[in-house]
Amino acid sequence: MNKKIPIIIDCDPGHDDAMAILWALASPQLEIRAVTTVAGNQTIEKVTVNTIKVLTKACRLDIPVAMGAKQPLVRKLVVGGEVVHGDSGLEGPILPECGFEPSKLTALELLIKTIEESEEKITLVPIGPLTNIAILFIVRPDLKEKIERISIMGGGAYMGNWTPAAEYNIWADPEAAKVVFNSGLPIIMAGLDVTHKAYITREENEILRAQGNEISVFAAELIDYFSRYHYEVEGFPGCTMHDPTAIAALLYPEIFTSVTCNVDVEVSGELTTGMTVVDTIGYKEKIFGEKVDKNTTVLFNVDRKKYVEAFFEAMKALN
Amino acid sequence: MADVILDIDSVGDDILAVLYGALHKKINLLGITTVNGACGSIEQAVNVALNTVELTGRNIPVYAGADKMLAPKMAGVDGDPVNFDEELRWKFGERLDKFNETVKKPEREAEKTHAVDYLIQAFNERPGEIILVTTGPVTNIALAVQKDPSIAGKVKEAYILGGAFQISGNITPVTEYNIWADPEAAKIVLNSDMKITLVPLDVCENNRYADGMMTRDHLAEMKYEGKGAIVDYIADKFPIYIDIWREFFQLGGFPMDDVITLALAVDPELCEYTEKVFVDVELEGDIARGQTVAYFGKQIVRNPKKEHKNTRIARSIDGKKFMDLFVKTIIGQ
Repeated sequence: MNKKIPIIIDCDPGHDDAMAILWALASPQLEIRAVTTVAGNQTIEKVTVNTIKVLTKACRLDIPVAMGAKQPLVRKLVVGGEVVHGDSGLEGPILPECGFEPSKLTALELLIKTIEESEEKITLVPIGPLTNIAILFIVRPDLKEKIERISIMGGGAYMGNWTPAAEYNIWADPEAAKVVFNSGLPIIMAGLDVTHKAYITREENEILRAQGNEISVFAAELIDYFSRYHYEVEGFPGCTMHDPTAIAALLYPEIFTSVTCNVDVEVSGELTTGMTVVDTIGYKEKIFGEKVDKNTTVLFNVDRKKYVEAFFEAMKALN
Repeated sequence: MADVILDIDSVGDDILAVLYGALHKKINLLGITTVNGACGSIEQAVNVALNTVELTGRNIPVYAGADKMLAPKMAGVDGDPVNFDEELRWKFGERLDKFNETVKKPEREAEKTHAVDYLIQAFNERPGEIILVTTGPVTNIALAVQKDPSIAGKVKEAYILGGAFQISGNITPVTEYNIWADPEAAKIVLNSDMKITLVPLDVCENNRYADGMMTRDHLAEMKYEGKGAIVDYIADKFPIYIDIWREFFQLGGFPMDDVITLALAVDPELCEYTEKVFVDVELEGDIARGQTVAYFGKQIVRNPKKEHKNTRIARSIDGKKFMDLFVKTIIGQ
């Protein structure tokens, strides 16, 4: 029997968030029970509209979408995506009008309801700042028992994209990230170490476009806009598939290499706040004799060819 | 000949750096300054330096420097590397006694002048002519720059061992020992106008460059090809160092951080470098204090100091070429 993995995606679309949602929708192995939104790449209003438009584009009006945290736990919201994702948060392709209304519930309420009603354990896929998930764990720690694991896009062992040390999703709400990483639940971390290796070149994007179906063309257009920053500012060889990697990690664990170790979050640095401190070698234990929780499977490398092929197949499978 | 002042904290590979500096035909070691660091007290650092110089038969002056970090660590905040000694003792037994052993009282004495005053004097007397190489925490250099800011521009070039960028640290997950031990000092030096080459763990304690680490094969080669007190000393003392770094840190051999840093002063082509950037040091931070942060301009948050780009970072090394050079220098070829 091929049982589907029930997931909740918590996101801030965002071009790569949109592609993550599409990939999850296309996969017969995953079942999206709910999508919650969080302020990040753009304001909470904009990312919620974007989420609904992406689901509308994929003709999935049945998945509940709930609006979540308007701002980080303690810090001021610094919208991340202005230069990368544009004013709407999802500039570039032509989007449909919203095909349905957001849920009357808040993201917190929808998370609680979905997890409580589920018979199986739920896998959380947070691909924006971790505000909603932290609030969930603070309000309802008992529900951790019903969570299988958390597949996060965020952080980086040896690099940042917002500051030299910090990746945006963690940097935007480091206190929330600290709560989530120290929650005791098993985490898969798709950070910049691996997402920078999960890229799609311009030539490959033309293959995607040429697949011809509506969603493939849509994804290619998302990549057209999103990748400008990767080429022009970051000097990368292609479009960096940050958020979709958190989905790919669930679907194709065998194409990734990883290290399972302790990850904590710096919240009080002058230059390094929002950095994920990844203890691959186990120094805390080795040098200071501290027992640490190997809480996170940190992804470091990916078989890029297989990744791109799987993504293209998924886009072709939709509509 | 390049005139070099070497600032060391006198644990294992510092000794090799002193020997390398004394024996290398292109290096003229003007003086050795010492700092409290990995080996413990400043007396131990001075004695190790004096004994090592004595072994070479050269007459290189040694200056005692800072005994304390600029902002001494608060007990309990950073923790104590206790586990290290216990686990090693269990593994190696009494062989461990050769590791950072208490040394005999040297024949010669250190100079009367304090290391910091010597540095200020030396760079003022010959501005733009002397290369500075540091292999420990940069406390002495920071104190010198604070006392006389003009010397930052008078150092011909500084080669500083420190930091970690694309790999894990060696004392915490994100910090390298020298910077972690005195981050305030490192911040002062990196923020000065000094022309700096930073030599991080990326090229020294990274198995990608394991061919730049010392192994028992190198010891055998030195014994076979050369002879004399220095070769005997290295062959006797360093097997335990090789074992510790292989067993405990899973490196391919004994990492030659300090010797590499000095070697670059006269053979810079051993490494490839990044463009010049601004490197800063985290002073706050619960878990990242002592981390080096480099502004390459690819992130949203840019170099806060705009045009201040005084540091290039070594990013790869021709390890085999380096070790060949090391062995040849030690055996006197």
